[in-house]
Amino acid sequence: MVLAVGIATFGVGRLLAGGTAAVPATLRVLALNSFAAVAEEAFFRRLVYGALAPNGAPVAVGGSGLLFAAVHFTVYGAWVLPLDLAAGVFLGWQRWATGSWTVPAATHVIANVLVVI
Amino acid sequence: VAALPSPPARRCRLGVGLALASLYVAAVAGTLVAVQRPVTPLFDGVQPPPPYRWVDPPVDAAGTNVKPVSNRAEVRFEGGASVLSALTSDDGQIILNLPAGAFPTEPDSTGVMVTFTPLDPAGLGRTPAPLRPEGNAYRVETTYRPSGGAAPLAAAGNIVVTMPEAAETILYSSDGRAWERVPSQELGDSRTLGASFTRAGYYLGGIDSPQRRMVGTGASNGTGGVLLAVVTTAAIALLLGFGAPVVRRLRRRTA
Repeated sequence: MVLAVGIATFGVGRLLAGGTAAVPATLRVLALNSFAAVAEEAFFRRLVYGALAPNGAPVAVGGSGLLFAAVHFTVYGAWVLPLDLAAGVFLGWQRWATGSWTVPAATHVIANVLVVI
Repeated sequence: VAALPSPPARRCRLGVGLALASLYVAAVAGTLVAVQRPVTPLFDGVQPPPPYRWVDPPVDAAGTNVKPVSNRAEVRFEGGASVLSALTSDDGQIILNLPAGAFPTEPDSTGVMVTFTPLDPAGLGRTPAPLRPEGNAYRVETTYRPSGGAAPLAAAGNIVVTMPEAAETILYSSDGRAWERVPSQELGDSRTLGASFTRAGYYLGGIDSPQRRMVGTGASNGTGGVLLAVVTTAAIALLLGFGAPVVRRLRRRTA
């Protein structure tokens, strides 16, 4: 259920965001996008969330989401901050709701695939 | 074994999730309104740069070129100061980041209109030797709204210029005739340079190569470096994500 909500959310986001894929969804692009997504989730929703979890779920969800947004902000600029903060907190909710980082990882992979289709 | 949450708890968790999902969709919509161009759901992963959009394309890019057009974006005044803004040209090849208070307010003005006009550098003044123009030139105008008077900057922002090929520097001209070098730095890849934005005028990338190195759209340039950076960063993230808990567990076991 949590995964379905995640896929639906990022699917709606992709439809709303519009535009066309910059490149065809080649195997290399898909593999790298998926690798990046899993790596990010291993870091933010496994390590960072796990480190903050003793302080309570709100701190873990908010803290990992904030760091997620901050990292993207430095790469893509200030205007991605609201979007990536919302995405980071949402992925943190998935981690909290399921107790596992693999669900946000799967959601993140699908979100990254949506970028190239 | 952890106990399964009760149905009310499950409903509560789902409610929180749906609220956060709505927040995310609202953030996408808000970002779309703010930047006025398509956005991607998470801003990460690997996307080779899109083809450069030329005002006057070289022969090999003419077939697929999408000519950029002039566009305008407004910087609003709120609470007696201009707001923090990120503005882009129609083609996304120029980005302006302006801090809050970048423009002084003027009586009866609601904000500052920033106009981006892509131009063929061949129609402008010659660049100082040995530099040659790289890509389009852009005229950036800042005028008070609604008076139309020139709006000077009170605080520096920064300008990001994307070029079809690696360039040496950003060039500036106040009138489109006499160019000067602007201290510039690479941002992410060699096709993208950033500089301080302190005044309106003409901006252009300059390269000192005797011949155009680029063939095609430049889409492949810098991709190898980007891929390497993404893979390295992702590998470090994976290592940290899995390594730290494993080390902790081993320490606990040996204690």
